[in-house]
Amino acid sequence: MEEQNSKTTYKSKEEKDSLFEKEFMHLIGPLYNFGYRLTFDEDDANDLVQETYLKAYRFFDSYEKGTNAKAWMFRILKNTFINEYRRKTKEPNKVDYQEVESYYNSDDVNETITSDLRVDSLNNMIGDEVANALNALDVDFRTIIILCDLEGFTYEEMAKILDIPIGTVRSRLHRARNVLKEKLNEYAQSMGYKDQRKKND
Amino acid sequence: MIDFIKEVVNKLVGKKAQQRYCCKDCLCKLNLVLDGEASTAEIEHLQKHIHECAPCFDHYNIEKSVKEVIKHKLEQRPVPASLIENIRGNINKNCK
Ligand SMILES: [Zn+2]
Repeated sequence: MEEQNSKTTYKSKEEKDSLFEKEFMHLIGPLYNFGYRLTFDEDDANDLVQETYLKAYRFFDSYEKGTNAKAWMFRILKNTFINEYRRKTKEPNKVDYQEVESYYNSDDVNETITSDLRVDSLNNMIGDEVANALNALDVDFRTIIILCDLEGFTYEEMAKILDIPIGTVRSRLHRARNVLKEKLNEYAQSMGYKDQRKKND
Repeated sequence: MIDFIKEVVNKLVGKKAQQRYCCKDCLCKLNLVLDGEASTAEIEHLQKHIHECAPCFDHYNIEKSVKEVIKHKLEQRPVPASLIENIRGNINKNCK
């Protein structure tokens, strides 16, 4: 078995470059899409991914083989986004996260909004509608849904990527899903009205 | 007027109360199971329970479908052709 959690060693720049590419280059698709879903801009996503790879290369010596390369890269990208983009970018109509958090905290965290969301209306949705519902979420809620449901990270990995305790991962995920379901339900209902109108014509 | 407000509030509160589920314990575990974070015992318990409890069964299916639409319906954007070359160039320029 390969030795786990050893520091990355290499003898030459060529060897380093080749190790680096093997370890991280296959992650470019998920990283680019993560960058795009955070910034909604192709150029920003491009810059974000380039910056992420540059940082990863600089810190390659501290990367431990056998740790999750994907989680490591997602963490760098997310930190880069917070440091360099989030300050600059003012999202229009953005609801303050704390506000949302306290609102959803005001009730029992275990309470789940069921609404009238139905499985068949979810199945009838097209990709754009799902994307619009997701994009309507505050960036922290959007991020945790992407990490969990799209990328399949474990709670422990998400805790590391986001620098928050696992308990916060769970409660944020719970609240994010409640808001997501509300948004999906809004789309489902507007679709329903459209269908109804077609029938009445 | 105040009675009217009270009535509306009661309606809302009542509606909210109805939305609460019968089996709180299962509902907490439900997302753990769907997220792959539950223990074998928790999975077995939930599987057994949703066969007997219609609200939890419905809820399980909705939560599962929400996860599935995120996983499968979102369109992945293709990576720009120049990006990998730009990354390599950027690294070579900045890290000698
Ligand atoms: Zn039940």
